[in-house]
Amino acid sequence: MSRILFVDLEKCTGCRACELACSMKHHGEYNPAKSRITVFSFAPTASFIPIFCMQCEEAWCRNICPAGAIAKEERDGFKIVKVSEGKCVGCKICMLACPFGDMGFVSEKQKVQKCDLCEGEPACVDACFYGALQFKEAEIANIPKKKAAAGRLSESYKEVEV
Amino acid sequence: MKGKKQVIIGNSAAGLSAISAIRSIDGSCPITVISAENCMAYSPVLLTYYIAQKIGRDDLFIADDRFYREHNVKTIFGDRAVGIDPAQQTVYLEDDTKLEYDNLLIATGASAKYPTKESSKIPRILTVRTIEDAERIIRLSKDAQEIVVLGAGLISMQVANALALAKKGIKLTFVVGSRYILSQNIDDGCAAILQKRLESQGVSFLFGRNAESFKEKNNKVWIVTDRGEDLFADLVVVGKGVTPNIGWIKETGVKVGRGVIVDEYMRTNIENVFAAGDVAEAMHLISGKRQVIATWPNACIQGRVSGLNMAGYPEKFDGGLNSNVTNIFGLTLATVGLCRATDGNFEEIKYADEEREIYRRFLLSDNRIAGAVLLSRVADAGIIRNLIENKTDVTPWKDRLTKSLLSVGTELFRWLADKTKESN
Repeated sequence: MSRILFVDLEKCTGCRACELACSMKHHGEYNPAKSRITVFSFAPTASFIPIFCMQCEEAWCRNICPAGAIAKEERDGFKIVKVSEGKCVGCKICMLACPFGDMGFVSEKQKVQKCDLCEGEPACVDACFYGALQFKEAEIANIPKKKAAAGRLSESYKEVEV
Repeated sequence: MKGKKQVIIGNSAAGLSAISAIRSIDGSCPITVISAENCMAYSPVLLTYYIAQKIGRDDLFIADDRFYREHNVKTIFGDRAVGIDPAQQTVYLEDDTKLEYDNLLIATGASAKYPTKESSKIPRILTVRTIEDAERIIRLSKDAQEIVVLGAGLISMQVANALALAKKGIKLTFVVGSRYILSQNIDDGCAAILQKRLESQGVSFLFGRNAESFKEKNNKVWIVTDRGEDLFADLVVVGKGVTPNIGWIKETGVKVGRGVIVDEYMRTNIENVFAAGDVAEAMHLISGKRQVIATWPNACIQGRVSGLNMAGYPEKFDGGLNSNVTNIFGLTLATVGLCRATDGNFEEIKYADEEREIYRRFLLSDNRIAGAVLLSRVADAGIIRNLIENKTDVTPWKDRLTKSLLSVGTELFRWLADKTKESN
């Protein structure tokens, strides 16, 4: 089994503490614009959806990186898709590859960044007061629960305003 | 039982992706990779970063000894494939050796075009395609003061960008056949913003003319345009597109058009011969016509699909999509799908902010995005590519196209949600 970053949508209040914690950990400043996790608010249905890298098994960013700067790495009990800052030239081709828009660009460094699960101690999880974000073993699919969450997403999506 | 003999001609994006794909399914079949260049695989995308002195020569290489060892690949570098005999399932190499295959992948890439035959023989006129080209341009640009760039495509832009970074104060002049820059990639509105940015950096343009003849004189190149103008340059950089390397395949029975013609499995007209990357002519996702798409991402995707098929897994290629990201004099330009103004009857949605150098233009057909040009605001480029690839109806977010679609990343969830509903 492998641990993953998990979000319980029922518990997310949209407080965005995760964004602040993320930018603090990786950039030493409270700046949501530099966060690797982003919370989207869907006002009409009062729902909030944090979006972050899924650490894809078949990671397009990795497959396509022309600098060989992105690798799938196995850690103790979890897997990450990791960007090597030394190798990244900032060409942004991975930003074109990621279908979720989870590749960020850091202008100061002229390099891309993405979630690396803080190498096993995700700052966003520590900061999540409501326990919406969890770093835990991936569970066997719970279809009814999944369906409920998916239904909510689907609904919220019809009347989006950001 | 020994697996199928897999032979790959070409050691770049398509070839390497194919190796990884084959090995993800079949750990033991013998794989041989042949490359005319006598070195490990390097990334042509990185060449301009090397020219700009942002990275060193060693950083260009994306596969080392370990890669080939770990993937258990036999390498034949510095030898060129000169022919194939499909009946005998044999590849002929320049040094007279023969190589038998069960499956063959043609991934020989493309070569840069020169404006005239003579121009390819003048050392101060160069294209940027290989590591040798990059080294030559670094060497020759050391004492250069005036550089003429022929063509204003993406490669020209990148090379000019790199030279301007490496040599402050160098004089760059573009000679462009069309009315505006990047005319193959973007529309004139976006081009105008980019041109202004380049001009503010001291770059000048001569539009509507082509260089016709070239002579080398006192370490300078003397260029005469089709309007009879004389231009002198220390160095001439050519960015007039590429041609697939298919000369050696002609008359072997493998069907070629502009490139090697392949079906949706990246298979040629011959059952066990595949082609991928810049050399292949495959179906375009939007236009539905066959096209050569000479980009790095396309080569990675096609290489992977061909590799999976060679290993016996019937993966389909949904159709190619020309997509690119380029850094041009401090601005980022991303293009996906159909991008030119002349691309038929499409609904156009556009946002232009000349002051802030932001531009976003979408071509839609039946409420589905067919192409996008994004300048400066590109963070959602991947999401847009995804929407184009899946031919998603974007009616709900039409009014937000010009701003950003970052939150539409959840689109995939919605799609999954619909799927879940269907299956329950």
